[in-house]
Amino acid sequence: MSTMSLEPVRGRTDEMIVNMGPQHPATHGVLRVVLGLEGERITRAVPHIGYLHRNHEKIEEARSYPQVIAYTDRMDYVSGTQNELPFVLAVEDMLGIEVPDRAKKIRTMFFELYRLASHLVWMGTAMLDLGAISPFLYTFWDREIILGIVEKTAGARMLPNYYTFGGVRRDVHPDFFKDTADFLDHMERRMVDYEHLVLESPVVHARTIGVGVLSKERAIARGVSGPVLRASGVAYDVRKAFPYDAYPDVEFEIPTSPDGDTYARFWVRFQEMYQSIRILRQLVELTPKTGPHKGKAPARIKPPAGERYRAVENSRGELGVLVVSDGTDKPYRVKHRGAAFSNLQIVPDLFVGAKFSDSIAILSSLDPVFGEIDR
Amino acid sequence: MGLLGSDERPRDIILGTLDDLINMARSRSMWPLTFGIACCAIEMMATWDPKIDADRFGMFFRNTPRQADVMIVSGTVNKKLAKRLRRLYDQMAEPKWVISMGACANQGGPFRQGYSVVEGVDKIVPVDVYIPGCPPRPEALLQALLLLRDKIADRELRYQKPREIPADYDVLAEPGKDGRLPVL
Amino acid sequence: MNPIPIPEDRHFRPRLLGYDPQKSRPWLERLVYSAYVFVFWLIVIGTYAGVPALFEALGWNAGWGFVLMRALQVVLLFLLSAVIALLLILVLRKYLGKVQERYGPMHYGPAGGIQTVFDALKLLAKEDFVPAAADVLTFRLAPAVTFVASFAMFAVVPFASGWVLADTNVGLIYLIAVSTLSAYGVLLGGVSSGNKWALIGALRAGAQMVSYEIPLALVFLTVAVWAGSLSLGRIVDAQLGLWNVLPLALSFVLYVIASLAELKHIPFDFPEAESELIAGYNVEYSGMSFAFFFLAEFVELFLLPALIVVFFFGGWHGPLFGLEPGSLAAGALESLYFTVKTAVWVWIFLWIRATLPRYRDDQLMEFAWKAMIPLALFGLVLAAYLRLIWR
Repeated sequence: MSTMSLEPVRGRTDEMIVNMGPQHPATHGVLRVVLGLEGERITRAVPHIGYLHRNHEKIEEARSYPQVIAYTDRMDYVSGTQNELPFVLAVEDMLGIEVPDRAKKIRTMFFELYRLASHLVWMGTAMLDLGAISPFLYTFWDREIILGIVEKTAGARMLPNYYTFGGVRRDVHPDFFKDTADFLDHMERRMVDYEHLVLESPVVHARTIGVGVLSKERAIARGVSGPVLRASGVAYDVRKAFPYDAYPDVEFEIPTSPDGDTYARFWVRFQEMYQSIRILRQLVELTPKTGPHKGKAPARIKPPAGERYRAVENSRGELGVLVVSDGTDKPYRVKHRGAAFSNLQIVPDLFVGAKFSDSIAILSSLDPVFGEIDR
Repeated sequence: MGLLGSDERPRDIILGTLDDLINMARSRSMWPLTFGIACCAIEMMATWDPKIDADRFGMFFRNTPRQADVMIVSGTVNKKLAKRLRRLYDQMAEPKWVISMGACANQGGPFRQGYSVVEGVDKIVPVDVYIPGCPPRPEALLQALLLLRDKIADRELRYQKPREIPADYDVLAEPGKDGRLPVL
Repeated sequence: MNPIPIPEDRHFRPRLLGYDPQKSRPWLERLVYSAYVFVFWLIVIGTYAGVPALFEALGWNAGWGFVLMRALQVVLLFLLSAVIALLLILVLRKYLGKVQERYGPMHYGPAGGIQTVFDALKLLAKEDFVPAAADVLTFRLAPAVTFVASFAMFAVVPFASGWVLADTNVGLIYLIAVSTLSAYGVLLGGVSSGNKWALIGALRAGAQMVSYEIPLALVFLTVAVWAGSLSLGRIVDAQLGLWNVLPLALSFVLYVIASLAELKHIPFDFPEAESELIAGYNVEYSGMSFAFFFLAEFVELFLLPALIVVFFFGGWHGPLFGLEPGSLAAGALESLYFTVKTAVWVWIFLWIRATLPRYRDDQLMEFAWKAMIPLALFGLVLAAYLRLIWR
């Protein structure tokens, strides 16, 4: 797709070129899509990104390895510690650091808590895009509970910089397991309500079923991952394909749906929330209450020269990091593979031919977060 | 921002009281613009959630800059976004205020060394309240909104304007010898 | 509501008040919430009973005195509408808060009561400009058209027996005509803004309002056929024994849906889809022009439920407890019934607004043209048939 804006085509008088600008109330961040509209139908769509390009990768070349962890938080900012994990895993592999079992389980618990938090934000903003104003507030209330749990342990709500090489920075708060168990009870009651409000609502059905169908072949061809891929019928989840941390120890399923439309994406994310609750329940039982929270790691992190790619299953898809080290204490190159960036490739495909209001629903079902896209 | 567009508070008792009343009304009914850029936007949304509800102070989001009073710049501003930001600011109707939320909007934040990051949104728009933090807690944003409210309503403070940006300042200009943009 | 205790935030200290405004007092919340019912009722009594009584006492009944009395009633009714609109904005925000597990405006005035006054003052003092690409005259006139159309509908609504401002016998036709005018205002406003988004919003609004005018008018006709008259007062009188909602149930449901669409209320709020079109046709309006659109919408939010009550729920009918019909006390009681019934319907509309997402516009249009118009026609024929065999 060309990077220039759309030019009006000579002779086509009924096409209107509008700019869905970087500021729009669809609360997905700074995406600009230049649309060619014929009435309500979209004929052409060119997305423009880069409005949040913050030079993560270049800056990280000038930071030491522990400092880079703090930067990775800010990529997919609704998911908090999920972004730290691929980098931490890659460097642990390069240095051969052993992570104790308890630390792995704690890391996984935080990982799944943030998956719940991210899907709650998604649900609130997706329903806000579709027009329902109340679920936004319910989901953010639940998210506040999660952030309160995280804050008691890690010190910060959204971007806690909590994982470190070998485990986590400090031990969990004494109330952590009880708080999490209480929260899971609360969440299970709330999920019933959310299902009524979102999945069973006839208006949502009318807006999302059959809208923005992404076929399996196209999804694989475009490099899509995460709930979007699973909603098109491909059962690929990094947690099962290349397991990490405590995922081999817990039982969970990967929800897939053969439809590939927006409703399938909604449904898959819902099921993922249920699976996260299931994983968390198992981990609350399984995690040893005492033990080391951090393995032995060198005081000065200097991985040997070489490179390593590790990926995790973010809330949005496969988030990967390629760490290239040249033996010093600052990385030579840190390349992030953003899940939402690859997912955004299908926007022109899905928008063309859809109605304008469908495009909002499609965009909200793709769940882009621009820190990850623009890095 | 004055009653008759003047730059100082009217001295007589009728117009002065009316000026106070109108500015009190403006302070208690500030409508922010939905302009969330990055991580701070999520904390901004969290300020309107039921735990810390900024709607109880009369603030609710308006989507169009024409109807908004306050622009809360929440997130890193980079050069590509700078022009759009300035345009949005120009489109807002007077009287208008800007809150710079978070370290990135204050002075570039952790990304200050980046080649595409503008070191602070006050190089583009005049800022009334700065909030430190990365990201600032929702309580901090609420405190900033209340500070702005008091600033608007306060007789002594309201006519102190933040520094103006000269019309010919180009945020996309080439950096100087030490790699920094021209300092205002 | 709170599974995990959350500390109170400490931003406020009770100052001179002697109590902590942070804690919401539920009785005060409910009082402020329902204040609009009583304010409405009092102004209605003042307009329809107070003013004629005053003029009769002064002896200015005929000629110019009569004209003056009517003029004063019109002014009072205008005041009523403005006050109702302002109070309804507050009620909306507090009700949304209630649904969304929070409190709405809380701090300014008792339980947030003065909030809308501040909003109105702020909008008055905001810069009111016209975009360079806009057509100046139409841009300025459009909000006024919508505003006037909404307020003008109050003239034929009967609040109690005999308490109506213009007791015409073509009240229904007047209503149809005037409610179409508000669609004009929206269309003109959006098209004259010189902005593509406003254009899209205005065209959607126009299409939606026009499409839903047809079932609306058909339901009006159904009610007229059932009651045998086009005058609203007569329609209410005809509901003495049996409220219209029972025999005309189908038309009632269609009327509620069409009212929601006329109001541009969720689930039909496409034209001002807040999260899509950046306020739709409202995009370029600021200051008082925007306030006109805003107030017009809230006046209609009160008015369309009032019309539902008039057409289907017996208007001001209710047990009189032995009061003499036609007296002041009876009038006051009847208007109280009217006000309370309207308040119930306003609450139902707000409830729908807080809960549902919105339909896509082609789904709206399809629903209007393919489902509602045939059903409305069927309802009309059914009402005519029932009237024939019952009366």
